[in-house]
Amino acid sequence: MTRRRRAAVFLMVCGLTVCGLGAVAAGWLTWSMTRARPDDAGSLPAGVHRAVSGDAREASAPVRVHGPAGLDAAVVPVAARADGDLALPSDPRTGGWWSLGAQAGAPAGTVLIAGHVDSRRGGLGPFAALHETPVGADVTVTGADAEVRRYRVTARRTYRREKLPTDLFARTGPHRLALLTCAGPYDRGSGRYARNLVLYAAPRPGRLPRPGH
Amino acid sequence: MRRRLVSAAVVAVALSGISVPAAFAAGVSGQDETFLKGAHQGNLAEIAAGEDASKNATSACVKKVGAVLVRDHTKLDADVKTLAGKVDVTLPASPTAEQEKELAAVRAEAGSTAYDTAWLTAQETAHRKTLALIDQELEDGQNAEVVAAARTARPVVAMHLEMVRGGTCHEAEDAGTVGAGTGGHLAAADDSPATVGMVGTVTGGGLIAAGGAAWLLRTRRRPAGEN
Repeated sequence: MTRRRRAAVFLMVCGLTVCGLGAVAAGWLTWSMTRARPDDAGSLPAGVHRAVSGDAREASAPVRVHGPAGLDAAVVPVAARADGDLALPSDPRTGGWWSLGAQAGAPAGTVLIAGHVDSRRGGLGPFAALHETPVGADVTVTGADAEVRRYRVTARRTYRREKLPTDLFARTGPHRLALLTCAGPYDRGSGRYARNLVLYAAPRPGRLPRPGH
Repeated sequence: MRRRLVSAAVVAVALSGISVPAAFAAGVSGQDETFLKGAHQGNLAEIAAGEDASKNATSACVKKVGAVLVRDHTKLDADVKTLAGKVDVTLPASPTAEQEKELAAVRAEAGSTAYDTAWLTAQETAHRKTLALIDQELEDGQNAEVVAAARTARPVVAMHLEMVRGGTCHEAEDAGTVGAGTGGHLAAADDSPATVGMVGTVTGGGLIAAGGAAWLLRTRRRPAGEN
C-alpha cells in the first residue's frame, strides 16, 4: 500500500472511530434525556379572573372533565384519608374532585381534580392523557347543574409526590383548575410513581348564560 | 260550557295552591328542602362543638379534631347557604333544640377528664346521623344540585367519623398528597422505544469505535513497510 493510501485509510478509520464514539455519546444522552421528567412549561394562572360574574351561585360541583388526547372522565367528590392522601376512586376511568376545594366556576380558589394514570390490570386510563395535553389546550368541566365551564391550560409542572404545593388545596386565591395524575419514575418495589404531573388551567370567558337568566 | 270550564280551572288552581304550598314556595322537593335545612343545622352544630373543644378539651388530639370540624363545616356550609339561596329555601338560624341539648351536656363536663370522651362519643353519634341524612338525600333527592351537595359532604363527614370512631380520638393529616397510579404502565410506555434506540446506537457506535481503535493500534505497532 502506498504511503498516501495508508494515510487516507488511517484518517478514515480515525474518522470512523470518532463517529462511533459520537454515536455512543449521542445514544446515551438521548436516552437519559427521554427518561428525565417531562419539561415544565408555561406559567401558573395568576391575578383575578373576571371570566365568571364573581357570584358564588355560578359555581357547581364538578361531575365530568373533558380534554384533548382522550381525557374524558366522570368525577366524584373525594376527601383525604388519615395519612393525607386523597382517596381517589380505584378505577382510573373516574376522577376525584377534592370536595373541600373550590367548585367549578367559583369566584376563587383551586378546583382540584385528580385521577389514577393507570391500574395494574386495566393499563393506562383517561388521565394518562394529561401527559399529552399541551399548554394552550382547552379543558372543560361540567358541573352538577349541567353547565359546561371552559378552562385553558397555562402551565405544566411535575413535583415529587411528597412535595406537592400545599396551595393546590385552597379555596382562596385566583380561581383555577388543577388536573393531577402521576408521573414517573415508577418504583416496581413499592408499586408507586414518584412524582405528580399537574396541569394548571385558567377559566376561559364566554360561557353561555343559562336559559332564563 | 265555557263558564263551567273557567270555574273548573279556577277551582283547580285554588286547590293546587292550597295542597302544595311548600313546592311553590321553594324550587325544590320536600326531601331536598329537608336535606338543606338539616345539613345547615348539622354544620352549625359541628362548628359550635368544634369551637367548644378548642376551649375545653384536655387532649391535643381532640383540640385538633375540633379545629378540623370548624374548618371543614364552615366550608361545607358556605356552599349549602349559597345553594339554599339559589333554590329559595329559607334556612334555620341555629342548630336543632336536640343538638343544642347534646352540646350542653358535653359542656357540663368541661374542666374534667370526662370532657374528651363525652365530646368524642357525642360526635360519633352526630356524624352517624348526618350520614343517614345524606344517604336519604342521595336516595330520594330530586334536584341535581342538592343531591350533588349531599354527595360533596359525604366523604368529608365519613372522614370526620373516622377521627372520632369508638369514642376515641384519631388524628388525621390534612389533604396534601395525591397517589395516582399503581400499574407502572406509564413507565413502560415511556421507556421501551428510547431504551431500544439507546441500546442499538450505543452498541453500533461502540463496535465501530472499538474496531477503528483496534485497527489503529495494529497499524501503529507494525513497522512501516509491512501490510
